[in-house]
Order: sequence, then C-alpha cells, then structure tokens
Amino acid sequence: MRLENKVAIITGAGTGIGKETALLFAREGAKIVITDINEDSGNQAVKDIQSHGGEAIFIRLDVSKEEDWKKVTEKTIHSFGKVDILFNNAGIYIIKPLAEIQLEEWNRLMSINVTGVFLGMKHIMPLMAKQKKGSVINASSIAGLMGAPGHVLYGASKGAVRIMTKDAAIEYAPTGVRVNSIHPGYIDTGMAEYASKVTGSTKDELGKEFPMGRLGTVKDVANMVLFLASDESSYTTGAEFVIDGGATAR
Amino acid sequence: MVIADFSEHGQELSKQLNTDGYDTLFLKTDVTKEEEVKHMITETVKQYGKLDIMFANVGIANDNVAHELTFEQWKRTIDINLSGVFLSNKYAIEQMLKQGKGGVIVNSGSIHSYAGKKGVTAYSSAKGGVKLLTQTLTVTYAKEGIRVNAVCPGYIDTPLIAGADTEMRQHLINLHPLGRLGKPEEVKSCLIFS
Repeated sequence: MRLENKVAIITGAGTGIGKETALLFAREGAKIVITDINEDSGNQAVKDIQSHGGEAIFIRLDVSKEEDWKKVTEKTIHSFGKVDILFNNAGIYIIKPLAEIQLEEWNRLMSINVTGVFLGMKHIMPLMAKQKKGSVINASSIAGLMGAPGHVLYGASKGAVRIMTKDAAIEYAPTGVRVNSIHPGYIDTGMAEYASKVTGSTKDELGKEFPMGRLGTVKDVANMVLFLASDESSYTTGAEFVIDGGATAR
Repeated sequence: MVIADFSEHGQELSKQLNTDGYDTLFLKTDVTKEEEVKHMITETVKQYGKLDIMFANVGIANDNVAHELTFEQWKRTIDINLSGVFLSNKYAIEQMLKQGKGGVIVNSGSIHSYAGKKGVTAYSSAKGGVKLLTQTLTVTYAKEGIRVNAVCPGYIDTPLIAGADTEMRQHLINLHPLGRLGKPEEVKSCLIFS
C-alpha cells in the first residue's frame, strides 16, 4: 500500500474531489481525518470509509477560522499521534464579471480559498517539521495559471495559492516537509455543474473546450494527489501539477 | 519492454532483466539517425505487436559558455537532446495513431526547460525546446488519446554529473532547497505515475 500507516487531513472531504481522495487514501492504508463545514456529508464520508474497512474520524472545520484549525490539530494528534499529509482541498467558486463582484463576496471567497490554505499550512506544517517529514497538497486551479472572463475573483485566490505554495516550499524544504499545488481544469463535480449553469453551456460542451475533449473525473485528480502525498514524490516540492486534459499546454 | 541505447550498457541491462524473468529486447539505437529510430519502432511492434508507452530519456550534458561552445558541440547537443526526442516521438505517434487506442509518451525535460544557468547554453536550448515540443504534441494529439508529458528533474545523482568535482557537487546541491541531489528512483516513480 502506498500510504501505509500515514495520517492524512483532508479539508472539504465530504464531497467531490476531497471525498474521492479520502476514499483512495484509505484504500492505500492511510488513516483519514475528514474535515468539512457540512457535518452530514462529513459523517457520511467517514461511514463510507469505515464500511470499506478503513479508519477515519470527522472533525467539523470552517477553514477560515483559526480556532477550528487549532481544534483539528489537537484532535488529530489526540486520535492518531501525528500527521503526515495535509490536502488543502476546500474551496468555493464564483464566476462573475469584475464590476459586479461585491466586496463581501470577494472577502468571503478569499477567506476560504486563500486564508483557509494559509491557516492549514500555518498549523500543520510546524508539526510535520518536528517529524522531519510531511507532504502538503494545496488545491489551486488552472484559473491560478491562466486568465478567463469572469474569473478575477476566483483566479486571484487560486493564483495566491500557487505562489504561497512555492514560498512555503522554499521555507520548509530544509525541514523535509514538501508542499505542492495541483491545478485541475473542469472536473465533473458540483463546480462544473455551477459553471455549466452560469455559462449556459452543458457540461459536455465545457469538456469539449479542453484538448482531450472531456471533463476530468474526481479519480483523475485523486490519483495525482496520491502521488504527491506518497513518498514516491520525495524530491518534488514547490511544483505545479495540472490535471486539465491539456488545457495549459496551449 | 524495449531498451534502446547507443551504448552496449543497454545490452547488459536487457540480459540482466531477462535473467530476472522479465521480457525485454535490446535495440542499439542512435536517436539522431532517422532510419535507426524508425527501425526501433518497427522492431518493437514486430516483437510485441504494439507500442503503448514511449519514454524518450536519452540526453547528454554540456555546460560550455557560449563563446567557448563550438558549433559542433552545439549541434551535437541539439541533435541528441531535441531532434532525438522529436524523431522518437514522431514515429511512436505514427504507430499509436495506427493502433487507434491512444498511448503515453514521456519526454525528458529538465529544470533547464524553465531556468537558465551559467554555461547550459546548448543544453537549456534543447530542453526548452523539449518542453514546448511536448506541449504542442499534447494539444495536437489529445483527441486521439495520446498523452504527452515531460518530466523535468533537477540535478539527479547519475553519471551525467559524474564529472563534477567536490566543489561543483556542493554547488549543485546548493541549487536545491531540499539540500540534496535527487535519486534516480525519484524520477522513476514520477514516470510510472505518468
């Protein structure tokens, strides 16, 4: 198994990419801390892992609240004694023309997509440094690499995640803690459904805009995160990994 | 698996793997010779019936600063590190298109596909070319299910840097925030994932 005896914290693990990754990690031998703001979906993810013989606990987490992160840190150490992997996956998506973005929604999105990733790294990476080893995966997006209409808000948040990842990677490289960012294109989740609604294109039409001609699957992303979480990527830090059907090769 | 190499080391590796129970074939190949690359693909298909994965790994090191780099050295580096990748990709893609089931190509880029460094004149020119060749092929053949990616390693502890003295070796280590050179198996794991 590729993550035997490792302990992983995953944010936004109740649905979509986070949940798929949690299930895959559990199959590969990791103990999982499922965190989500939604208790029902978080508890369900724990049940799904346990029903497959895996080990998992749920901790409610609003990633924008530092108090919540302190709780996650304490409970994780209390339950499992250490933390090897952090997948900062939680995020929200808003597509809106620049001039229509309200300051309140700008601040809210930034508090989740950027502050949430910052707080996760701030509270977990020092623990990993003490262990002299750890792997953090931050969810950016192809929107953090290239521009698109209606993406000033979301793109700014994902661009921040991209460069924070590199800064943290350099700062922590001497400690043995690695940090990398992933950059999915449109993945077949609630976010693609939302994009389909906002743009008036079907999900199939969205997929056709990518060189490979289809949307990504949660499995496509989970497998990339697994590679970065495992010791297989031990010389890789501060790097960007696209899962985008060729979109950024253009 | 087909092991193609300009040197006889490939022959020894192939023999060793076959002794260990694997099924490999050695083909002596100079990637700068179009006929030899073509032969490499046709022999592969003759032996195994198809081609699913191509790893265009071969490359040479050169760190002469521009005013001391001979045109011959420049051409040789570009020939092996860039044209060799083009040729092996071209004939692999031709075969994969015939099969109609896609395929996976992994090319050897480098951190010098992205960043320059004193003396890597010809090397970085070739590796930068490999990066954009890879991106162009990705976009061109994505619909056919052929995925093309490049691995871009930092300095890995291999014979390519065997010529470095202690001071140079420390200099290379210092280039990497993790504070050490990479190991060949750390590139291998990325390839298996690709």
